Amino acid sequence: MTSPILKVENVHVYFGKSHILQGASLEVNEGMTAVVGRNGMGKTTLMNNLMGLVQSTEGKVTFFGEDITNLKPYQIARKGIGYVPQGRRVFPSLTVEEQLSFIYRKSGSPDGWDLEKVYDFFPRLKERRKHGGNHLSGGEQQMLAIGRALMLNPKLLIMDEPSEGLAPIIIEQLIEFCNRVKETGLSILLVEQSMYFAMNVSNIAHVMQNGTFVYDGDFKELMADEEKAQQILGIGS
Amino acid sequence: MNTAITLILNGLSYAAILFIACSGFSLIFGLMNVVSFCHGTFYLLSCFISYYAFKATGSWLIALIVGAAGIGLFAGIFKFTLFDRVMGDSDRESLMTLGMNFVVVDVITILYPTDAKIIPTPQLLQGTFKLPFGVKYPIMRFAYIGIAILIGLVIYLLLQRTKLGQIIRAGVDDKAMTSALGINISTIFTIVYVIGMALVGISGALGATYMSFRVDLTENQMLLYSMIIVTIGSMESIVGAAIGAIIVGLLDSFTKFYVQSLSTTLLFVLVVVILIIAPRGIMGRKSRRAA
Ligand SMILES: Nc1ncnc2c1ncn2[C@@H]1O[C@H](COP(=O)(O)OP(=O)(O)OP(=O)(O)O)[C@@H](O)[C@H]1O
Ligand SMILES: [Mg+2]
Repeated sequence: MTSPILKVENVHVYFGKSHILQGASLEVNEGMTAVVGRNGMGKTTLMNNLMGLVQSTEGKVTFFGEDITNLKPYQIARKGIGYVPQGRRVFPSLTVEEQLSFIYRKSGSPDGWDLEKVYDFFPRLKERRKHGGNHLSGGEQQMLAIGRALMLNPKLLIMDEPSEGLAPIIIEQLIEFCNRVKETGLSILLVEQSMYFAMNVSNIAHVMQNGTFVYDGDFKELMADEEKAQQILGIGS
Repeated sequence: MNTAITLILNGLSYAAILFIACSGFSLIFGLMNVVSFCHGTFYLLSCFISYYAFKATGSWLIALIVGAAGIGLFAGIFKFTLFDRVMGDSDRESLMTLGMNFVVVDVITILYPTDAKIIPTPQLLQGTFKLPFGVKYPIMRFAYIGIAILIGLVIYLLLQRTKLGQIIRAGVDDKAMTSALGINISTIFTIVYVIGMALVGISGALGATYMSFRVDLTENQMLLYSMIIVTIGSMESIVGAAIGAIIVGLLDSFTKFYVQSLSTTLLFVLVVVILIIAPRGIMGRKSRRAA
């Protein structure tokens, strides 16, 4: 087996006195890695820590073998992680084209991402390229947030709840998108509340509960075990 | 009628100086959320630097450039050596900039006599324009209005048309997200801080030609007016700074002519009224992202 792209070992994060991440460990391998779990379990906090937006007090994060624990966000981004945050966080004061362009980092290979390729991938963004970030629908904002991360030519894409608040038809498009991206060889670390979405793109589930991972294994097997799924995901299947 | 025209022009030309100083303030506040209490002092420092640069060289243009570059450089060193250590902690930021005030004012007081000084108007801009209703008005003061418009335009183009401007706007929207996209935001902070303070430097040199300056008076007046302008105009908008500067400039001009003793009081009444109508300032945005 090849060594993981991203390795998270025993990460602890506190907000004031509350112990939010309590020793989270995770391996992200090539392809799709899905993290699921109920509300408020610490998924976003972990992603923010991976990006350097929230500092850990203990633990280690390595990316392609290199220690990136608690580096500054811009340093981590430049190592090759593209972040699509929860809530999308597009910039209201920049047009679509501006926010795709100003962070562009050229890829070493000729088939890397650039503005044209992102527009080919999301033709809707091209139609809206002169519009401000605050004049987009939820689905368009999500495409923009993804396109923006692709413009960094990352080696790993982190997506935190991309389906949140979107219409079913847009969710179908996102599923299709994830599967298309997989084919390009870009690895994705996906956080999702929607089991439907997660199961459609990943065979393996990592379940987070109270700031630590309580299940890493086959997705379908987990969902078949009703009692366990109910216990750690709060849902029956 | 001609009194009114003169007072309006006085208000607008003073507003030009105030706007240039406050545009720096808005840029810095908008991006860094830093309220700079040494704004007035840096303004005064620029008055002195450009005054002595003028005495040494006899060139008004060189005085202007030295004032702008001197304050930009001084602010850059201040930020790099001292301010960066406390940045992000607003209590310490305030204390640090307040402390800087005392140091600069004391040094100026020790080094220079306290009498009022003024830089003479350059030859090219001496003389007056003839306006309708028999009003004559100094060319120099029209030039100020022109310079302020020019600077406003340059800032606008910088923000709208350059990559640095895109980064600044993104940073104002969401600093954390901007840095998570690979932008070293603290370098951008330093650049914006130096530009903002260089603008204060320009306004100091212009102000020192407009009217006399004096330690213990000029810096307090400028700090007070800057605070009022960014409060009524919105802390983070250049257009807001322009509107605020025009309101304060006009009010200053009219009240000083008609009711000198109530001038400052009336300004504060205005601030209260505007904040009741628009709590975030005239150009204020409804909400900012918390992160
Ligand atoms: N900045 C903060 N300060 C204090 N507590 C926080 C902060 N951010 C998150 N929390 C708390 O940390 C816990 C984990 O939050 P987090 O956002 O990581 O959960 P999540 O698993 O992403 O949930 P969701 O599915 O709702 O997005 C929650 O209890 C939340 O209230
Ligand atoms: Mg979350």
